[in-house]
Amino acid sequence: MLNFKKLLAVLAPALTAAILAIVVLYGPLRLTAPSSMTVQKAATSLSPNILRGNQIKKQALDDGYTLVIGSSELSRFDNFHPSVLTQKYQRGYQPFLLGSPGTQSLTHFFSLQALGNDLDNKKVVVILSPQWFDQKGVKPAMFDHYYSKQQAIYFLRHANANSMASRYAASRLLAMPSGSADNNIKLDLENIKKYQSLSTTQKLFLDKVSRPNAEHQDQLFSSLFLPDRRSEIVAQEKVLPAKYDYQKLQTMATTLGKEHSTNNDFRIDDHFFDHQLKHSVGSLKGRQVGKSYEYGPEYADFQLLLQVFKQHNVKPLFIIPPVNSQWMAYTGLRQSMLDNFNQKITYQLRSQGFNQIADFHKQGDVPYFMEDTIHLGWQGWVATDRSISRFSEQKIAQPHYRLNDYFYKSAWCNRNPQTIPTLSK
Amino acid sequence: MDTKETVLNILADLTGDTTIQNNLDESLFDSGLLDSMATVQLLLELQQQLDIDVPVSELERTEWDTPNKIITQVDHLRNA
Amino acid sequence: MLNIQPYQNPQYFLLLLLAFIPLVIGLYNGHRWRWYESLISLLFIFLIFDADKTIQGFALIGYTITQALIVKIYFHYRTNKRFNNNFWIFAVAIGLSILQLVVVKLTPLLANGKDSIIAFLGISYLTFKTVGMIIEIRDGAIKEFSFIKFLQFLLFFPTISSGPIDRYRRFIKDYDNVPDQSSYIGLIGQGVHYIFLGLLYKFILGYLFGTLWLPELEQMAMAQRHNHPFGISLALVGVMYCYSMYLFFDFAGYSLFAVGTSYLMGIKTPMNFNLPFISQNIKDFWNRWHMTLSFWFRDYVYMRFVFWALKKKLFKSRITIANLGYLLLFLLMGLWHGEYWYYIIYGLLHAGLMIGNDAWLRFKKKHQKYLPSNRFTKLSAIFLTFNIVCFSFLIFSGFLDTLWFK
Repeated sequence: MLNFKKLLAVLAPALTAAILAIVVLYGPLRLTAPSSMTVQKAATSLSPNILRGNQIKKQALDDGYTLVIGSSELSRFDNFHPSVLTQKYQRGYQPFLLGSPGTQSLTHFFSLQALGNDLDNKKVVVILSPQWFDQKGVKPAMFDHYYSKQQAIYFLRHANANSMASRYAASRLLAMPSGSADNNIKLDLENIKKYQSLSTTQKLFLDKVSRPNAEHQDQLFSSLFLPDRRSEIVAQEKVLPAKYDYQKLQTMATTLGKEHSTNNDFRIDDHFFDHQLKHSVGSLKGRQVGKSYEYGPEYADFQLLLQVFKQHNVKPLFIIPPVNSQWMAYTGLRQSMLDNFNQKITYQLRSQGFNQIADFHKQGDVPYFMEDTIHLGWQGWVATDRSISRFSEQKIAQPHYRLNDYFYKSAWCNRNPQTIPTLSK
Repeated sequence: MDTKETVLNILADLTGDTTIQNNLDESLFDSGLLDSMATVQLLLELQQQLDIDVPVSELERTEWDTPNKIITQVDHLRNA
Repeated sequence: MLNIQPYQNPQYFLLLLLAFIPLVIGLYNGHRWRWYESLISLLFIFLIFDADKTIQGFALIGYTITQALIVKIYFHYRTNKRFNNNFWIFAVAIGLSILQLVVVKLTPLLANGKDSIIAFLGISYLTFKTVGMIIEIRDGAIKEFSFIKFLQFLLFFPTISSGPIDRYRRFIKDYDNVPDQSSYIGLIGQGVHYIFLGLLYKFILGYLFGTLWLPELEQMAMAQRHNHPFGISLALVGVMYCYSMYLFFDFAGYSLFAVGTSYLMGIKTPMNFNLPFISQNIKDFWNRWHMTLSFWFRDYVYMRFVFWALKKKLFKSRITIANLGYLLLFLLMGLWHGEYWYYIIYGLLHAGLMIGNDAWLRFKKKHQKYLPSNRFTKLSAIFLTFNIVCFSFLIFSGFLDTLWFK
């Protein structure tokens, strides 16, 4: 009997821990929805956990935020950043920022599709960086960094092996290291890719084992350690005029832009120049002569985003930023190439019924439109905010999207933009 | 010559430490006196001087780590 | 089909928990239900090697049959009085038993990084076990052989994927035995402790270093590589330490799982790590780092080479022989890790360090009177060893290959 007591003493803590872990990971647990404080903090946190998670984004949509989907430019919190301007003025929208360096179409596709019906009829903003359309497509390491198993599981449970979109998404995910990291998910993806629906066992496993586990992790951990930028934003907003005035803001943006770019001839922010360019600027001269954003898998990845928009009747505004023209001249990046990129992506959008486009791709020579080489800032943010504000206040007609599977094919990805017709607006 | 004396002589030779006979229960591996090289030499010396074969496989370190244990093992093998 | 990889996710641990309930009750009451142990072993091996890993599963089956035959036939040869102990027969037996591993290791080199179809998870660790057995059979140390026990030893599922590398005679002693009740409770206590320590190591510390910080540091090092000679930036130093910590916590965590699980089965699988980062010199380090591997190489490669070389009087100087032994050991270890330049350099570096360390120890012994030895010298030795080891792990990581050549 003494031994039995000893055994219990040894096992009790371990069994308690195991039972707790089982309950937390797989139990019928419903944690309370995140508070509006958390959502507010998350809206400007730019945290990868927010991208990977689900519930905070869902709560943000419920609370009336507008998702602003982009990448590295979102972190340029100067005085005119949409999050700053909307903090100061009633602009008819409240941005919830989604994106960090390296987030591109594929990451945003998995993140958005997992929101499911919460996306229905929502207005969203997509800042469509030309740099996403690098010929090689998204870097696997970057995709992996933002990969979320929870979203992959949602995708698998809603994938339709008969749809080109699902099969394409499955094959893209399989091409990434994260897609084959979990054996069961890998097998499920391979099924979809091969036109096969998931078996009952596969579905059961996803529903009863994988999904609760991932969801509970999201509920427990996503809101921890969020970077808090709210005071920074309030500080930026202090210098702005009390009443919104477009002309005044433009003048101010020029003044502030000039003040902050004094150590270089490119109108690039001093801090950025010091830290990112000073050492390598010599070697970058003429470096981008052959650079092209006209071809590659990103065009097909982007189509996946459009498919989510159609499925949930989402009304997106696409913002196409330019590149700093002084920088372009120095590195040899061609405006004609950017024009081609714009021609191609605009065709993909308009021919399928996506007509809300704020096209800034020719504004690279507007002084202080860019904060550095490729990121919107000062003037660029003032213009971006005005577009989003107008779009938000405007009543958008019920869209009629006509999606075409052609855009998933390599024929489209490799198509020469000069063979593409211009569509009238 | 008896086992104990031979073994202690070999050990003193190999380790260069003549005080070994005073610490018969001290672990030679822990103190660093005996390393793998010296262990192999010990086996070779035992073979040559006492004509006993100890394959490296039989050298379970926990049973060969002090002078006393080595003496016991060697005695055991000699009488086997 | 459900597929699980050992110690990778909660499902594996849950399944382990369920499967172990009857086993623990049995052992606690003094019964080792060997049929039940075999059953769950088979179940776990099936789950590890099913679905898309089926090809690996077949490779494992083929491997197991071949190895069993090689060991069985060699055992017959050695125990039959009519034959003497011919070296060449032994060499053939070893050659045959490492053949599949050699093919698997060379295939990526010859086929542009593709894996061989006869590869499977854990082939290296199983091969260490059988080669060890063949050597001990040659020495006459293994005196009995049974197929069933051989399979139990070879396919012992807690250690099948990455060790620790056990020894046949040690394993069988535990397997044939049922621990008495109070010592079994002690084993459970230790086993549970190891498993929980493993969770901390692998899933918390290993995750922090390997998943959260390492990729960021690597990216920083890559971004700055053109601004510094040989790409040696502060970020690269960060990569070095971060990778070293990751390597330790990930592998030590895994090893703790394997040892802890074995303890629950009443099998005292040897430990793999013993606080390696407090080593005072490189020799000390190899007695504390991946111990079952380094002891394997020590006992089956180094000591046998030295024995043979001394006996044949290959060189006059026993120092030369010892140094050659180090070179052989660490080159082999490097080649075993994979046929890439950085593994070879890693092996050569450690051979050099061992040779240097021996020379230093000899010097120290001679000049003992003049050299101070106090807390400060000890701490400096630990600090120096730690940094040298981390540097060797940076080479081992292969990151320099990416940094310089990709």
